[in-house]
Amino acid sequence: MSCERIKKLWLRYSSGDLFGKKQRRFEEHLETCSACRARRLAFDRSTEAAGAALSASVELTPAEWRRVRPDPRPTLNRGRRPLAAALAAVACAAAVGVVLYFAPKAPVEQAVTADAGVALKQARPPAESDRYEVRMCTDDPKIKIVWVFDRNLSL
Amino acid sequence: MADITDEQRARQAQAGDRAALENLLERHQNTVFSMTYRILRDREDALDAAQEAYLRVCRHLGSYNPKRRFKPWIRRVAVRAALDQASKRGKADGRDVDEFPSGEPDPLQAAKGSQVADRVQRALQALSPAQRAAFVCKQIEGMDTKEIARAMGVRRATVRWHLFEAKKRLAGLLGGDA
Repeated sequence: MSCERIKKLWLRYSSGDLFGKKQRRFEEHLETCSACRARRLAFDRSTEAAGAALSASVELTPAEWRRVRPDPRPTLNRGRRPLAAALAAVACAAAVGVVLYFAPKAPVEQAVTADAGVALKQARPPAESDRYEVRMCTDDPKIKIVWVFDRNLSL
Repeated sequence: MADITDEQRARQAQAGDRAALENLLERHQNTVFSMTYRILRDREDALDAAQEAYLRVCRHLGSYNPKRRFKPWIRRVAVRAALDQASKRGKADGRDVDEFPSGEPDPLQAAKGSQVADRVQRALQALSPAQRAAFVCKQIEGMDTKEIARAMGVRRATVRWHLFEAKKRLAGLLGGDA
């Protein structure tokens, strides 16, 4: 048998998957072929040397462990949670929809004040003649900035 | 707590016991890191990959079946994280190490010397991450090709090819012409 014909068997030999009849064929070839015998020796010795080098102990230092360890609290996933979360989200959305649908359409008085001192006030449901004002107070009490909008939010 | 197996601890963690999860991660911190380091051969990359692996364990613990052993599962997570890290960093498949000094007839004997130990390290560096992953799983972890294929997410034939190429390359660099 030629070296070419046992080419595929080298793949199995390298991965430890060579058994039975195929193993016998491989061994028989090696008995008659010095080149393949030398190759197997080189394979085995280099594998052993590399394995010895790789098997050296590898450990995290305490500082490295502190650096890479995850916080399980926000990441812990128990598998059934995504479905439960999806169902809860759907239920919440449905509840909000029902409340909005049946809620009275009464006028709402609302005042929003932002940190910058902007005050926006809406007194009644919007009418054609309504105007909106945005007042901005500055550090100087004498200076006040006022924007006035109509119903279409045109200045 | 010491008598509790990994699988029992994993079951507790799946039920929401955070202390059990932390304990499980702590117990396997070096299982994960040694795997990522041996595959990537770079401590910083290995730390990044290990961190990603620990996170994946937290996120996907729900998919682990406690009837099966925990260590192979976490090992698979580590291998995938290492390979993902390698592809993320765009590491080339194998590095050129043609400049290796020649003339060492027996690498096993000579490996005791620091010079040849260095050659062995550089030969390992010359392998692609996939070849190293297959080699580490086979030679160090004692996994069979089916397990390796599952861990790497490839077919068995691909694992055989990686192992053959890895050994051929190592033999070429360390043990003369192969």
